[in-house]
Amino acid sequence: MVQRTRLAFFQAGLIIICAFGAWQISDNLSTDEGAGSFSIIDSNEKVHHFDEEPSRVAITNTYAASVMKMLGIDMNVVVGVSGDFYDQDLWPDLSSRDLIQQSAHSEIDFEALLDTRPEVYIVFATNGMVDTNSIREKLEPIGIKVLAFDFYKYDSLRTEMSVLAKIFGKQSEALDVFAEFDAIEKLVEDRISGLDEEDRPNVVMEHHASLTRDPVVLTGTSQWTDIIGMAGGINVFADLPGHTTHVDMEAILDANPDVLMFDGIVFDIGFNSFDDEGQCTTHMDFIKTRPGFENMVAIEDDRMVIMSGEFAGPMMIHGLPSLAKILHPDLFEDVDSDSYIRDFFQNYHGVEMTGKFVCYSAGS
Amino acid sequence: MTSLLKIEGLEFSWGSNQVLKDINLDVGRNEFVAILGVNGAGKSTFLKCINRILAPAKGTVEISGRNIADMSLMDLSKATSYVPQSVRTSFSMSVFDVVMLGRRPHISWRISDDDHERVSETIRFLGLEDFAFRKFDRLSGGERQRVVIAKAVAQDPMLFLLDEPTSDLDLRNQVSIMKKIRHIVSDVESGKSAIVAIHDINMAARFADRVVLLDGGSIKADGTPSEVLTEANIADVFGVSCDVIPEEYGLSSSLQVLVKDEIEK
Amino acid sequence: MDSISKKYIEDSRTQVTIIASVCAATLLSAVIAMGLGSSSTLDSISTIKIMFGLESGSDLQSAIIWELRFPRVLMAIIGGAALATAGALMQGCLGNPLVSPLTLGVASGAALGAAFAIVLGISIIPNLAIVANAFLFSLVVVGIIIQLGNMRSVSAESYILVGIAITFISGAIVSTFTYFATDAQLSQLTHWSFGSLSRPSLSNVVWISGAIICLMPSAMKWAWDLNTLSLGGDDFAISSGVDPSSTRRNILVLSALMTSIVIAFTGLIGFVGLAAPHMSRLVIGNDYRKLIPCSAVFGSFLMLFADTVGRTIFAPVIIPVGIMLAIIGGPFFMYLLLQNRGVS
Repeated sequence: MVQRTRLAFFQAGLIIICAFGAWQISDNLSTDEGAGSFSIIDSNEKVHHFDEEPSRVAITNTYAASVMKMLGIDMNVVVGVSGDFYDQDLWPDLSSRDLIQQSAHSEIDFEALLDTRPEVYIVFATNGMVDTNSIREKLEPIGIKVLAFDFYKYDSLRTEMSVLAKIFGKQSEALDVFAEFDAIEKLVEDRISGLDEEDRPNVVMEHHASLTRDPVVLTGTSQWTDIIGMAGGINVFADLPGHTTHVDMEAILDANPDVLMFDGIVFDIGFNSFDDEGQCTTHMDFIKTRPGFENMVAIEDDRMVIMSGEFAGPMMIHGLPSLAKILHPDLFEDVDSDSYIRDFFQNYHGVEMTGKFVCYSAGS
Repeated sequence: MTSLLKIEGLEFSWGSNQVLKDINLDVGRNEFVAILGVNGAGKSTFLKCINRILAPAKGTVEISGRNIADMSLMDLSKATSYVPQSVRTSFSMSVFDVVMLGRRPHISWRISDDDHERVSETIRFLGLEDFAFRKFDRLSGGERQRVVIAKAVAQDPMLFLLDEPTSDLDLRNQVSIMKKIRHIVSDVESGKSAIVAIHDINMAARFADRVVLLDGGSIKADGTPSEVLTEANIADVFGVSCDVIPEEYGLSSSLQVLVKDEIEK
Repeated sequence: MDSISKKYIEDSRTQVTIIASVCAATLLSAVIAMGLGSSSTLDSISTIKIMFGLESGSDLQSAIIWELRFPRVLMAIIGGAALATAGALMQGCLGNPLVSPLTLGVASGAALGAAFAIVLGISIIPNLAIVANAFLFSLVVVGIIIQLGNMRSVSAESYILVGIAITFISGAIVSTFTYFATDAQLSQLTHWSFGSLSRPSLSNVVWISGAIICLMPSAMKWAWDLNTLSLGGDDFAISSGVDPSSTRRNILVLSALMTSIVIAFTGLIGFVGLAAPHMSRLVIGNDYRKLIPCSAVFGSFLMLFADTVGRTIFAPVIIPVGIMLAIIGGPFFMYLLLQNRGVS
């Protein structure tokens, strides 16, 4: 018996020593970057040291690429992309770069990634579909910096853009963009600041995972709550926890919203997409048939909105006037909301705004 | 009078291993037949071929003149009931319910009063009153064996097939069960018979009218206990030397086999 | 009639009374559940009054009661009964207390069908496409079960192993889909697999109820055979006049059908098919003539309770019924099992 106890203690001791050793090694690795000439903190609060701006960058989501274009970063630094960059009109320089993964959330082909020899890999910070931690654990030991940026959350967008600007020495360009943001926000804010709560339309926005009778809505931490708020509306379910949640259809009926919004990701709208099959209309017609919906204000006033995925990313500020105009047509009658989107595509992508970006049941 | 059970040319193999070779047997009414043989001689297989648990490779089995292959399983289970060596179970039912299962071939859906009565009678007959409502899986091995025998009795067949029904029982219960089978088989009016595979030579000798000795898949000897259980036969089949002593017991005249030693091969 | 028979008949009557009581409790709970919801326009009393025609409600109130709450409550009762019955049937005919309707591969087949429908671009609209596909694929699994049953010398274990194999294969194919799926499709698939009673509309639920009610007598018809099969293995069954392989195949096809009719509409709901029969056994024993109806009412009650709690406790947020079942039912089930240890 004493023999066994001794063995147990010995094993425990061995495990503790190994654990300590492993911790030391990983600690060393993460501080191995050395001092560098400047450092930044990404959205996962990881510190990265840079000696100079990176010349080989792998990016897999179009939001990050948009931001790079907005900051005027030379896209030649991009050495690896994902399948999300298939649109040659929008990404003429990127659609033919080496593919390192299928889409922003799919598994990385690490060998293809390493083949492109990037210095930096930009990935989502807080997206549930992407395991940023495990990517970091794989890539950082071999010297690839994993920069975690969402670029789709309102509260962190400017900070993240500043950080990226710092890395590439585009701080003044960033300030220009922020000035543009300020101007647009001010335009909208000025016109809606005088509104009381009753004048702000109640909005319910459904996530694309909603099934006909099983609604999933966007809630507190979703960027749409901020966007709707800034456009002069109120997300009815803003105080529910998390990003999305299942709600009882009765609660939607209870809220009797003025406007119904739907996540545009599953619809054929956005840049170079024209809703050829009329999915928007079909969907809206279908929503009207939900039990109890006939008498809903949003249905009676025919105010259903579907906005494309671009509005959820770095284009969110440029898209603000569009939503504000839908929510408060009288206040924004004289505003050409499309012009901001045109500017976005012209100035940052060098392309014409083509495609259907918004499906609105009452308007075109 | 047609025999109750008629087996002709029965053969059975497990793969390439032939277990039963050209078995021929005729069993009439009111007969208590004991099947004896070493482990692997084919006793269980033989019983299973009679009630279609196993399908023989060759040969016919007829019960009351009907080929069992032409009978439905339901009809077959009205004609014969079977007590396996062991019953494994993951679920628990009360003893009464298990015995009631014996009435299955006779019930379409509802249990009649007659069925209730028969089950009660059978339970009393086999001395199971004390645990009629205990759960089957909480009984000891021996108690379970008695319950399964009760189920077979409740099934009210013409032919009983019992595979080592006393293997788990204590001495008193062994004697009791064998007596009860004997009692059932002796009722001339009902004309029932029993075929019992058994290891205990002395029990077989005491209670059976007829002993069938299986050796290597064939019938080595078939007759009364004194005809079949000779020292020579026992030495040949079981590989043990013994003395066979005729005895008179209160129940029947019989013999006793006193095993002496293994025989060196 | 002697005392043993008398006691048996009395015990049987008691068991029937228990089943009837749980049934009554379930119906009462159903009425209460109809009165609960997140709408502020309806409280419990007015709901009940409107339901029984004592008060005329507005269009909105009627829509909420008859098109939202009623289908949900009815689906809970029917779905719970169907899954519990399927579970009881499967446990009996496979002689294994650990199997459930999700074991045979039917659920994986349905999930695969749903994945096909979602990922091959049949988007948000009529999730009828998802339902139809889920049902179709689960029928393929039923077909496999029938083929298996027609093979010689297939044992209970074979069915369980094939079920596991189907689950693995379906899982692998679904994983491949998710690899190529878009964000949106992934979300839809994930949410589908949570299981929800709100998906079927009133007409869907009426259809499902009709189908299940038609299948129930078939389940009861097998009660005696199940008693035999569940007690002692194939040899025992044959000696009692039950052909184990065809009986097993028929019962499993029935269970698979009952399961797929429900989960094609609701998505995956586990636990109730495993636990309700066990809970019933603790109360009523293993006689299938009583176990089947008892499992059905326990299943209904469990499902109704879990769904109602899941949609009211954090209203308006809905916690999927499958999750609630595990949270409430799991510990309760453990408690019951521990209570019964050592009691004969």
